[in-house]
Amino acid sequence: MGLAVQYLLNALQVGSVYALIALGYTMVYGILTMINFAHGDIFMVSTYIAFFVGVALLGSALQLGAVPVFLATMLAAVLGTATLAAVIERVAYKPLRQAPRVSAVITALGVGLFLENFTLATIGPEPRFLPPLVPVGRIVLGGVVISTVQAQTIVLSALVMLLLDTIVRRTMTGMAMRAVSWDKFTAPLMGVPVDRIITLTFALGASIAAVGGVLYGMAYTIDPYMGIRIGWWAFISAVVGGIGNIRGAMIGGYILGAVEIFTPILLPSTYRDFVAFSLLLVFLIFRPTGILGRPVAMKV
Amino acid sequence: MRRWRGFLIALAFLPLAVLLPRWGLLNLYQQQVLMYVGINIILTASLNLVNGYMGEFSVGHAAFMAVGAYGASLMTLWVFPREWGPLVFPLAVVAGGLAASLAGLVVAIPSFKTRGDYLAIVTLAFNMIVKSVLENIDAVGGPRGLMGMSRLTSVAWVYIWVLLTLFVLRNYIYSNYGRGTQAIREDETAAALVSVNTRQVKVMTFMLSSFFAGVAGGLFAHVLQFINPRSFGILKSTDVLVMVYLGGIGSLTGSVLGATTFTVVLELLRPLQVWRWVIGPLLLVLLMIFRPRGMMGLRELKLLVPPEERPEGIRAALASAGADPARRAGGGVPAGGDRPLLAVRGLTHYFDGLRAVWDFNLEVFPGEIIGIIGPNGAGKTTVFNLITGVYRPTAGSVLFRGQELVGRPAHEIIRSGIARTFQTIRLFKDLSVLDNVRIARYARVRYSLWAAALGTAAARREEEEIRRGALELLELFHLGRYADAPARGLPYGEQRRLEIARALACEPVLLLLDEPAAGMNPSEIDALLDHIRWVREHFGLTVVLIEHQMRVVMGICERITVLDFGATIAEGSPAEIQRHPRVIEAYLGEAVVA
Amino acid sequence: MRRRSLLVAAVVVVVAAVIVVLAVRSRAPTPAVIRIGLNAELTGGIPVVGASCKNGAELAVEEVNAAGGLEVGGRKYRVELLVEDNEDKAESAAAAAHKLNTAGVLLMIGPNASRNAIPAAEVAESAKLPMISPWSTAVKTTIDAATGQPKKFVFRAAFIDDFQGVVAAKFALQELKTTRPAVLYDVASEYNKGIAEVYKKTIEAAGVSVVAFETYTTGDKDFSSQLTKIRAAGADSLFLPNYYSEVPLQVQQARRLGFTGVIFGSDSWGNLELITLCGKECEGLYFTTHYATDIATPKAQAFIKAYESKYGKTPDDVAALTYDSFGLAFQAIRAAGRVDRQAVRDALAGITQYEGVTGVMQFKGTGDPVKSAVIIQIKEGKFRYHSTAQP
Repeated sequence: MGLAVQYLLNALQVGSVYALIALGYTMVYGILTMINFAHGDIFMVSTYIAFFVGVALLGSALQLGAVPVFLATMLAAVLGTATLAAVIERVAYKPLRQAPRVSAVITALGVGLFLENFTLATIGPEPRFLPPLVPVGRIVLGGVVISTVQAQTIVLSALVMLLLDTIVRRTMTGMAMRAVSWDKFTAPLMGVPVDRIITLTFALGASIAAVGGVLYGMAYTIDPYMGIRIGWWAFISAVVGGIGNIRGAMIGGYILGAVEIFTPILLPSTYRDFVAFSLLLVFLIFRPTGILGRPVAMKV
Repeated sequence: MRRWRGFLIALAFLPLAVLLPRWGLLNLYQQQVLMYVGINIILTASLNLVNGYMGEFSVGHAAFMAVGAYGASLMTLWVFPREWGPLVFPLAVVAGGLAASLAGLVVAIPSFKTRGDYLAIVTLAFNMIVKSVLENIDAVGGPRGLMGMSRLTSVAWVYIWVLLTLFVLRNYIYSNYGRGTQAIREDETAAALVSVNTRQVKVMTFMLSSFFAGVAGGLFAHVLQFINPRSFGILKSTDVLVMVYLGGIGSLTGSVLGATTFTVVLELLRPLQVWRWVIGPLLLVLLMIFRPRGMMGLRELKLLVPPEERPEGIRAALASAGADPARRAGGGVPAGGDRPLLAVRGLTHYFDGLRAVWDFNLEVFPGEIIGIIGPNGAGKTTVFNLITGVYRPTAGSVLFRGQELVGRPAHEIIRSGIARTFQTIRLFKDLSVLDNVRIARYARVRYSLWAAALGTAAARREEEEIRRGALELLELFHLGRYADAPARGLPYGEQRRLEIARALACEPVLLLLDEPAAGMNPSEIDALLDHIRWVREHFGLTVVLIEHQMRVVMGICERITVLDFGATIAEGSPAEIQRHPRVIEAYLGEAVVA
Repeated sequence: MRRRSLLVAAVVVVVAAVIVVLAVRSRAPTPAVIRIGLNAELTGGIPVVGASCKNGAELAVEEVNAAGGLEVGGRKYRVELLVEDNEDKAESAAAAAHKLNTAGVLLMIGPNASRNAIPAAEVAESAKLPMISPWSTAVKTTIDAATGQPKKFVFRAAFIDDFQGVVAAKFALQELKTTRPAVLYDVASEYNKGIAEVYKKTIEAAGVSVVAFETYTTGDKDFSSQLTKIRAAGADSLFLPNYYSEVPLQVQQARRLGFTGVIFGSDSWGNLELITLCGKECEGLYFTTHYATDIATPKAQAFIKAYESKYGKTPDDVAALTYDSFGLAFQAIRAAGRVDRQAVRDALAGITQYEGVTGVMQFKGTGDPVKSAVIIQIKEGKFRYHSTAQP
């Protein structure tokens, strides 16, 4: 029993990060029907921002406590990543809005490759640990070991997701975002500044991924190529949940987290990808629009 | 002979491919680069078939390469004795290709129902699954890879396979099946409704594409002499995608250019080491922004286009194809008769709880011109869609020449003798006017995929027949001079005529016209009515047309059915309908009736 | 129309020009120079290994050139180093081997990681290019995959895992006194898998059963499932025969999940970067390896001093083994009497004993040297010699 709970907690931790990143994919897809393949690499950049800021703060003369350091690092990562995403959108994606969709996808792939290798070339390929932004401790409850990092990840992610859900459903901006995703051509006629909303969506998605990045960095190592695999798994999360649907992305993330954790228990670890992708395939064949996606009927 | 001129010239360079290495004029490194260029060309061209010509978004092409690589390697390592390597090599490569094409079948099946991004995920998942399966089979080395293959690939072999790939793909593209492939890209539903068996085409395209990817894999395995699953993951698939879009989707020349440029530029940038992968993607992004359709776009090098398909060839054929009105067999208005050509009974359809059509009945006798009218949203087009198999009706039956149509796929229904046009014109916009008409012959073509791929004389003869017939039809509609122009360039009126011409190329006995007068002024409408009468007489057709403009309907229909909110509210002659109170109410509102 | 054919013509001209340029560039080397190729992991997952290898190589080449060059058959030759990055990828390692081969090197040193060394060795063997891997310990590197016989052209400077795995097992049983041993290893990498299997076999032959034998794949970052299983099996020791870039994460996660047993590893740990990444969590842990700086012989001390003054840091085992590989290569080239691959190969095969920086190597008819191993313990952030294991 304790073992099962342990596994569940591990799955929640891993799944939270996937969910946060999946949100970025799903929001951009909802608004532009574009798969932003560079999103995983934007996530990677956020972890590096956290690394450098964290190292600077902890090594500086200011003897800051754990909470300020953590908040400052988080803020820096979020702002930095949001800015990067906004810049990428304006420079690389906006010119292609009228072009065939696949050009935008290839561009996204190119941007992703650029980010990976630029980081590699300038900072180096070695995996790095984030300095301890918060003291690491352990809570032991009846045979189940919860590290503080794990608890933080699960709780903070849930809060962020709740926040996003509130923004989307209860604010004007959120309504504007939903309007643009429903009808990009009529929304501006209603006074919605489409370009600004699109950029905002990218920035918001990246910010959320950045939160995931800081949490991820506290638990694992970071390296320039980490965005590839995590990006694809988060993308699958978004699809399984129903791409374009925010709550779906959250659910999808937790599902993929479960797959990642539970597969090596029953099968050799090399089966992880196999199980995850087979599940995805089966799922797509029987419910192609994902768990919460709307089947789109086409008018003939 | 002329159509093969390009390939024969290329074949003449083959001895060079053999001798240059032998004479030491090309060192091992250069040979290796050339071989990789060739392998990439094969990969790119094969993916272009699916992503470019068929307009799908397949993201996992490396999976097929993997299957081919492992398949060919197992042949030369385990199945045959090592010493036989050089002799068995072509067989091994083909075996790898065949295995890969079976894998292609696995991906083709989901493509029947899903498109676009979801199909992309399916192909991606498949790629990862293949990689994962290979990692778990210890017998072929698992994640540590398979090695020990002899270096059987040579510049000459790669050259031969590149030529073969381009030859087969070129033949396929300019054949009936290739047209079907492109029609799917343009408008899948419309393709089915001009008799293209879309499932068949998708299977063919995927299998052909993965066959050549497998060939590329087999060649790759025997040049590196070592393969592991990691080589065939998402990064490799991404490489191929980049090459396809770089060169230009829908252009074989583009594939050659894209593959060559990509491989060579990356090699040239090698001294930059890790910065290579920073500059490269940057260049790619810039290219996409300024040339989103890739280097060649949809254009093709003349050498790769068969002579009869080039503009001059088409114009020459046009000149020799006289417009021979009497040639069409079965002219004249068909005799009436007591058995209806089309009998629709109790047709009912719900869309997710919304009632679109309710208990629709109609009998159409040979030679009649029948009208279905009603206000917007009455369900008229839905009736057409139900009859032609776009949707399966919730209830009811449709008997055509005594056969039940309900439950049969659209392309079969079309083949059995029904053709239609659309409310919004659904031509294949990026295909030529001639191709639009030729596609409608899909179901009646006799030559097989093999014949198409090999470009046999029989296939070519049949193609010539098709071409001639199509040109004659175009001439009849005064569209002959547009034959090689893309359909999107035609003026509106011409586009409408083309759509009708295309429908007629299906050789129907029943023609369904959906709002043929949309957007026309009164004098154009009169011309249209004459045209419809002439078409009926010339081709011996029965016509059912949908309209909501009274003027059209009154002018030409012999009997009319009126729909409102999915239900039939009146039936009868034009005069009766004109005076029918419920009809007037539906169109103008209750107040006017009184 | 014309613009398009112009574009095509331009591309054709460019491609042709490229081919011509490439043809001209790769001329045969000028006489009086001997080229030796280095196939190293400069980028990828273990760049520190590649960097150390390159450092050791450059030092060796510099020293021999400063002494006037290599004397072969009465002539003095300058040694030139040709470096290729194998990106820590198996297919790139094979490609780099091809590239070095066509560039006309006399010998190839490297790759280091066995997963790269093995495919490169296949290429070297079929191209009849002598190869010495400084650091690869997996048995398969010097065995011909097709025939099962030892390869003729492939040698190494390190001991093999058939020996190292036994050393690790004996250490675990006798010194650590483990009764419930566990292993976590990378199943996608030949080295890790090979040594893990030898370890397991040796432990079991001693009558002790391995309570957990978990795997992961290169690049995985989350080991919580496997480690949870290991903890649940009640393991008292954990053997991590994995590379320095992954071990810190494994150690950290193990401790965070509550595993309190002793953790130790193999020669893939032997890099100070491990301590940088791992910090305090790795304090007190052990690993088997090739050499220890604090018990160095005079020859080794000279090397360490030279390395430190040139690079500012202590040489690790990769650097030392690379230096020894070059030592072996130079000795063989001199003995061969002429600049010819086959002759060099024969000379290499003829060396029965070589005293290197990393100890005495004895060759008994194959390319695998018999050497002793050392056990190192991490104390106060440094590698400290613990004990020696004789073959």
